[in-house]
Amino acid sequence: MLVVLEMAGGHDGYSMVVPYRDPAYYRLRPTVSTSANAVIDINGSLGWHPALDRISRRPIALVEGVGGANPNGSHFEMLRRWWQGDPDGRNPQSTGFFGRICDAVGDPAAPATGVSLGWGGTTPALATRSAVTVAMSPWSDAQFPAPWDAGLRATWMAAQRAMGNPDRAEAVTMYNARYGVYNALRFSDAIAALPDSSWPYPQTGLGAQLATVVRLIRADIGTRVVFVPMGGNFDSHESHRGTHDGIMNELDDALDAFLGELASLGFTDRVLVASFSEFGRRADQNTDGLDHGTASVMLLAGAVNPGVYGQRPSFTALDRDGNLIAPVGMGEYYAVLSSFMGVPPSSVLPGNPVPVPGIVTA
Amino acid sequence: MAVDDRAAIAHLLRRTGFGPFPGQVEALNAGGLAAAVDAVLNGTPSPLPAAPTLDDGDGERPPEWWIRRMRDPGAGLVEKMTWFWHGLLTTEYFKVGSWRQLWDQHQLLRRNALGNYRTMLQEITIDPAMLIYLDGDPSEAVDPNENYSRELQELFTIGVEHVTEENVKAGAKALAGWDVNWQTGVATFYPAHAISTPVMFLGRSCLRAEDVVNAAIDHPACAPFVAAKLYRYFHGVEPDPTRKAQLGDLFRAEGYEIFPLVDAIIRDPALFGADRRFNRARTPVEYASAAFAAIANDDIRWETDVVDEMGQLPFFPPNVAGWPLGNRWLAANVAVLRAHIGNEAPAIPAIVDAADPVQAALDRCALYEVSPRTRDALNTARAALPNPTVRARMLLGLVVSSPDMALA
Repeated sequence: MLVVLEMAGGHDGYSMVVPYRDPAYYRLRPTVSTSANAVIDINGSLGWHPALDRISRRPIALVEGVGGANPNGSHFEMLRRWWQGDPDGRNPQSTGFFGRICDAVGDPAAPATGVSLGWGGTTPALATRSAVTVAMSPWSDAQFPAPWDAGLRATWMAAQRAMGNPDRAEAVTMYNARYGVYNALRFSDAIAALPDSSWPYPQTGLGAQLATVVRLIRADIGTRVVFVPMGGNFDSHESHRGTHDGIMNELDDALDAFLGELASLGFTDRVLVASFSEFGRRADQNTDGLDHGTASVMLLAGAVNPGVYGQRPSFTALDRDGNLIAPVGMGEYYAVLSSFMGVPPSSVLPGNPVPVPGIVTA
Repeated sequence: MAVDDRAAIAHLLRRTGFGPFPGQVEALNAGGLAAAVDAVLNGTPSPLPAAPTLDDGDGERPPEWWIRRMRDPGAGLVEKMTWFWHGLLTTEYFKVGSWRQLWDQHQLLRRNALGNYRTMLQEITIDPAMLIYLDGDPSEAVDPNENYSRELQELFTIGVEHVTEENVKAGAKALAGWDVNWQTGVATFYPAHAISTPVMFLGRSCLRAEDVVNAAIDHPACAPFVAAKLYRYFHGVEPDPTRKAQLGDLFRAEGYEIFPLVDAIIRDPALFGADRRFNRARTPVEYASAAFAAIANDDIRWETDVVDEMGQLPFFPPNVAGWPLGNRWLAANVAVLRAHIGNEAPAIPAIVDAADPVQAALDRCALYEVSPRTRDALNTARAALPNPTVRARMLLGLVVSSPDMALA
């Protein structure tokens, strides 16, 4: 299973991990940076943000310098590219990158090959050609809406089941309409049948989302991709440090709990957690924040060989807008994800991107 | 009553508007289907409400404004046609970034919705929002952007099978020279950024955007292509080749006037055949408008959130091809959202007091030819619910969330 952690808004990977031996980094960000003596060293040149002390002890792979060719400063344009898997913005797609993975690996009989755990409904990243994808709120527990009263609920659900019973003898549109209800009910039933997890998760949005991911894994209903839009203001034009520190705390709490539960269930090698954000942030600080940038650092966990991958962009040779020049393309990063899922990158990405090597186990 | 054309009239209203709304079919049934068709085609739309908030500040934005307008039973055919053009000649807020420009474009589409296609296409080609959306802003002849040239041909006029790379490049050259001032929002043509000698585009010598649009419109494939899109919008299926050619001939003979084409498509007896009833999904704006009216809910903010979650927020199409008419609107996540709406149904007195509350709930949703399977499910629920108020609420909720209600 692929668990996609979306950090929309423009996450500064180079605040999550700090190139703490690079004087140029500190010259660009004299006050919007974590000091070298506060970071948790990873490999002698890169260090974790101190709020990430628990996941720093977990098996994590970091991919440095990921961004698109031909970068654009618009959240929406860059999100579109990441959602659709359009690495340089020149190949708009009618489906989402993760939707195409669902199409490639989905069991047509599964109630939901792809699940989005957001609060705003479906994501274009999971738009498919044929596979079924479902959006659910992590607070709703995927339950089909019904009256609270138990007796009324039984009557309502019986009627919904009767209406959601597809019959090939009916016209094809009516069959499809009933089939949608059928899938929604089946998904709801599968989740409802699970015992609650006693694993402790933080009472945060990400905590609720990741707890639900484990329920989906345990439900074993053919879900292969779970899309987790992480809340929080990544778009830290102002007061970057306070804002970003809070997000890192939430990430550390929730991801540590999730990786702990995965390990306890023996699922670590079956699950790849992969983050993305539409862009990183500007190399140099403004007053106390960071404007829109380009290259960033992506985080992977689960079925990974821990370590630092990709390539560090230069903090001295910036582009004409003062941005980092990304040495690693979106395509090479996304190719890691599709390869993990057993899907040839060329079948789901424009061009024929070569995966960043060595990250995924087995 | 002499005739009962309610099922056919409900079908007509599902296709030509955003209802039917409670009571609307019954009111039209007195005159029969023929009179209802005349009323749809010849009716005068109710006056438009005040414009939405376009700049900073509180108040309703264009998506909510439009959702509210769709709920007006008097909005008429022009509303459905404006929505059609928004899906075909589409533009998206994220890329444009200005409600004022999108609203101006909305007025353009509304003004021309049943007017002349050549005029509309000429206007939209140099519309600031469209220039931004399809990268005509800026595009200079030395290295022109090909986006609009391609989509003008592929999506707006002749169809992909008639598009060649040579014509895409030639069209892009002749379209170049426009720029939208980011402060004023005004589109200006700069001759210095345009070509000075004509190019051959679709077999014609073209120098300016106007020539490109005329060449695309006059191409023999354009009229049947656009006619077929409109036919599919109303009939839910492609026209057969003969019908497509007939409608194309009509469109061309009428000088690309849209109304006569739409008139012919809607008056076509085939539209009322059994194979056209419920033969496509209701799109989210169609569904939500009828469903929220059925549960007597005027919370436009909530309705807008629902169509957004279903994936059809006005002014936010997924891509340049607009919104599809396909099965995605019947998928599980949409079914869950329908059940959310149904679960909020109130007890409507006409259903509480009805001798047959199942029929009353179906009538309120204009489902006069519901499937036997759905009717059976409703009758079983009715038998389990002795309390008339509770029963009325649940029956309406079940009808609103039913598979039948999800179809147009």
